[in-house]
Amino acid sequence: MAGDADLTDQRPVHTTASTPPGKAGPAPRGPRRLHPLSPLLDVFDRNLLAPGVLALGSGGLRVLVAALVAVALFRILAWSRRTYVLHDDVLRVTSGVLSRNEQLVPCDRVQQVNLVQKLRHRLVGVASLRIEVAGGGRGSGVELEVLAMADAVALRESLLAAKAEAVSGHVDGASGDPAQVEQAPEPQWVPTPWPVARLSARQLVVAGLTGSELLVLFAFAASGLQLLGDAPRLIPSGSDLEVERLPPLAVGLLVVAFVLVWLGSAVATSVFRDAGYALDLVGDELHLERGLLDRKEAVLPLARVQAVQLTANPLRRALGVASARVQSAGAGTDQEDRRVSIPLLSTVDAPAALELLLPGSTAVPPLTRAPAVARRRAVVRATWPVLVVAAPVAVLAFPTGLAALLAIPLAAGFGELSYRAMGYAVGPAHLMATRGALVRRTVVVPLVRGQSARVRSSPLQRRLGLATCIVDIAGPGRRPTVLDVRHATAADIQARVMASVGGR
Amino acid sequence: MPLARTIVVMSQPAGGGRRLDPKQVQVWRAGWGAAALVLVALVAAAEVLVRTAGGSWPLPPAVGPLLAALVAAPVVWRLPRLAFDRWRYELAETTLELRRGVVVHTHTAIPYFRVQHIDITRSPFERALGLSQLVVRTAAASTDATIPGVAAAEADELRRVILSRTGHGDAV
Repeated sequence: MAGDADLTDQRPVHTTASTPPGKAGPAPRGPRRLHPLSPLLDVFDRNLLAPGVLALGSGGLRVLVAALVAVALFRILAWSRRTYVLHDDVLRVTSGVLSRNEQLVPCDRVQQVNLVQKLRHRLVGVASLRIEVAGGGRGSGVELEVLAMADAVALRESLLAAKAEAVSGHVDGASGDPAQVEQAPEPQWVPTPWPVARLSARQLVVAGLTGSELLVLFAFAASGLQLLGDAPRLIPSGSDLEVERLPPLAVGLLVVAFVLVWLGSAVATSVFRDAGYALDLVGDELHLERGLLDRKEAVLPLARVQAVQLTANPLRRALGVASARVQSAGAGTDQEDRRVSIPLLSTVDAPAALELLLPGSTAVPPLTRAPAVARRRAVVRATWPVLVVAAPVAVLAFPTGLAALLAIPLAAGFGELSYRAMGYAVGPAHLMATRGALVRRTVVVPLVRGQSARVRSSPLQRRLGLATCIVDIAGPGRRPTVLDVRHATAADIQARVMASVGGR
Repeated sequence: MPLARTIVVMSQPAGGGRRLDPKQVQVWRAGWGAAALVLVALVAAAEVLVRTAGGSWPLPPAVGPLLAALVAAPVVWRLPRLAFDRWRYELAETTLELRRGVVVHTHTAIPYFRVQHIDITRSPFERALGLSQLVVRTAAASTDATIPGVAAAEADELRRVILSRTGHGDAV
């Protein structure tokens, strides 16, 4: 089968497969195995590198080949025992060579479906499908690695259609629009994608130059330094002196070259990961596609969105951009490559994107600043740890140690900044909370998503009549926290969360 | 002095709701006492180590551990009592409400609808006193809802009541 054909078929399959969803889907078919290439595709696993080198060292090439054949045989055996079937809205995965293992995933528990196509997968027209379920830790959820591209797309469609059908039958009409869900089973209804976010080439570059990609080089540099540590033994001893005698021009050129490589690698990281980025709202599902070589697709039902977090470091704030992360209860969503996120978003476009991700969030009023007494709390909170360290240093190393006291005004300034950053807003259905002196984080959470809420007050907060309200939501990620507001405000936010969850 | 004022405010009962079983004070005292013993033992060990190594220990023999014990004893004795006085749990109409905390006051509210399951745990010491702990779980790992000091027979009943109010459907 031709890999190219599968890739170009992807769109048509995607739309036609949504015609007979649910039980009418692949039910007649019995349990199926994964793609026949799956046991062989990853024989050269990174985890096998160390044992491989060991084998090569201890017994030479013959041992290595024998070991690889053994691994391959075991994988083929495991592949032959691993089957999946979607029947009666339950995905059943059976596996195990010695101890048999049967995993059942009811479709209405599916949180997110990820389709990952690494470069080598694209060459042979296969993809791995990962189904995330709520709660649980590592190992919950199902990974089918690998399926033929058409099978993966079809299975994803069937799962999501069965899920939509199952959920619409429940009391939990959290998507807020039952009409849409009911329409889904109709054969002719094909939802049109509505773009939530796109990334232009310029935005990809800006994202790379202003984000955490800048740190990628330092990871390389760390391993590079290890190499350099061994270098003196490799380089003749005379060359050390020549480095010191380099003319200033050469040093300057070296620095420029380093900066170019640094920024270039940051941009490249961003481009490789996010080229072709497209986040769409299709019906009541979020569809995400991205990646230059390794293609990644994620489908997250809108009803599963727990919260959205906007993050902006000082550089990005100056440029008027931020990144957004969609928090869901999927088990593996704390891993970067499985998350649904928007790498770069203009703050002008943010409300529109938020409205698509969290319908009704435009009704949230402008942020309310923390009360004036909270300034004292913020400054004290930032200053006392520094004071505890700096004061003994100043006393013990008397004349020079006094320099440590300079850190105290700095910390106080930091506290002032974090006071100014604090804000909250409660809309009819959403809570928005902002904090962060340097990296500004804004969480928007539907009140109805609260699992529990608590109001905390330390003695220092109580003296100023302040409290903190924390809303617990499902899944990994930061908990929405409203810091240092009047005790009555915190209690009111808690009461609103309780009222909207209510006795549903 | 503001601290004294806070303590007076703290020790006042926090309105309605049920109290824990008074025997819970003994459980906390035992736990805190064990922690205090470890602290005293650490101070004693430090003194022995410094003296055997020939270093100079700033206090006369055995005064260090004794001081630590003297500081810890009132805390171990008093704090569990204050914690007990502050603790209230209430089965409100749609939510389970927990009010607690001596130094940091915490008021947690959990809608029954969000309760996923309830664990009942009993340590050997709690078993000896006939007490149980109720751990209420929601889909959020960060939900912190443990009710200690519930009489064993009452715990099963409490769990039944809470679970009967959860309703049906997918709470995530």
